Amino acid sequence: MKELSETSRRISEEVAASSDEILSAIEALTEGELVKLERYAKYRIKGLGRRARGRDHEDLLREAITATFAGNRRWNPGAVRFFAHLIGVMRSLSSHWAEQFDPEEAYLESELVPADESSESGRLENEPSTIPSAERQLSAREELQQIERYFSDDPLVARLLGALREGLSGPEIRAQLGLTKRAFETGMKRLRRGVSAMERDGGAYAIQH
Amino acid sequence: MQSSIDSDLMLEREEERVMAALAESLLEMSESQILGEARQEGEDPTSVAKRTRMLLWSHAKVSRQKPLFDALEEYRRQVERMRSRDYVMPATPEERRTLMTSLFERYPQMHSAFVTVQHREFKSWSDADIESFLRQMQELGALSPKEVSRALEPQPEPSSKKDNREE
Repeated sequence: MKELSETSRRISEEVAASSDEILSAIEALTEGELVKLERYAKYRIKGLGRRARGRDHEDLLREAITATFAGNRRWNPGAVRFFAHLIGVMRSLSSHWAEQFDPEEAYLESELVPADESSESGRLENEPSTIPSAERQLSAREELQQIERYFSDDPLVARLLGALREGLSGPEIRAQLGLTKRAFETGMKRLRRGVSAMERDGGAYAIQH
Repeated sequence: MQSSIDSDLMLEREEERVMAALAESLLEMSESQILGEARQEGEDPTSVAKRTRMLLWSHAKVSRQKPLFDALEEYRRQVERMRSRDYVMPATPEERRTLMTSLFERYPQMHSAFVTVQHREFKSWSDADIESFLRQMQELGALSPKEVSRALEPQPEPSSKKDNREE
């Protein structure tokens, strides 16, 4: 993790990678690193929810490259691997997008109408907006409820999920729940698989499970 | 309404924490673990990797050429601005040539500063060259519209000539 934190915005032009070095570094990324980058971007965007403002994981990857070339997130090849640099930039960008979001401004009146509103105007206003995404975006509440339902008969992941929602770190969770490193990793793997299944099936998994 | 917003914000933050933890957990995995997990989930890691590399690569190429595109765009803007701008210009090619001659006589340093070696002999300049040169001088602020007007005013004849004619 140390090398990830070394991705700095204040890297001088002298030590920053040239465009040829960046292109070579893209060529040199391994298959596993590329899969990780794609998944990392997907989780980060999913975590933003409506605060992503219609951006998807490809936008996050593109923006990381643009920032690297534009010089506002330079890459120092002598200090950090390119993979770690891209991860650091995506982490920083997604946090920035989350901070930029103004919830007061973004709330539409239609979003505040109860879901079971039966009036004609209520039904119309509850029509999903096409602005944030081509697909309907689940609210954080719905998303978390679905994950909870999926893991309702998996006590390890259910407890893990609760601790993650509280914002505990990996070591804190392991200490609090009395988990070995292996048990923690197994739980995280099952959680990742559940969320991936949910992505693939568009939420239908919750009923099948 | 405010409590509903606060509650939603809290849940959004919780979801963000969960997803961030899942994202960070990927970084602990080895190459074989991530490839294996992708396969177990029914994905073909080779095609995912290929697609991601292509996305990064194509955008990197675009980003690399951006300064060039920006410079080209700026050049086009400048040319368009010069085309649409009203320059004070003598009406005929002869008058323009006269204006340039007088400028070089009055300001000899202008000749050496703005005229390139291959064009030092300005008699060989075409009418278009001269017009372009006068436009550029005005664009650079080296030739004011007032100076152009003054140069076009009929010059008083030298007194010696006048005297000769009177004789």
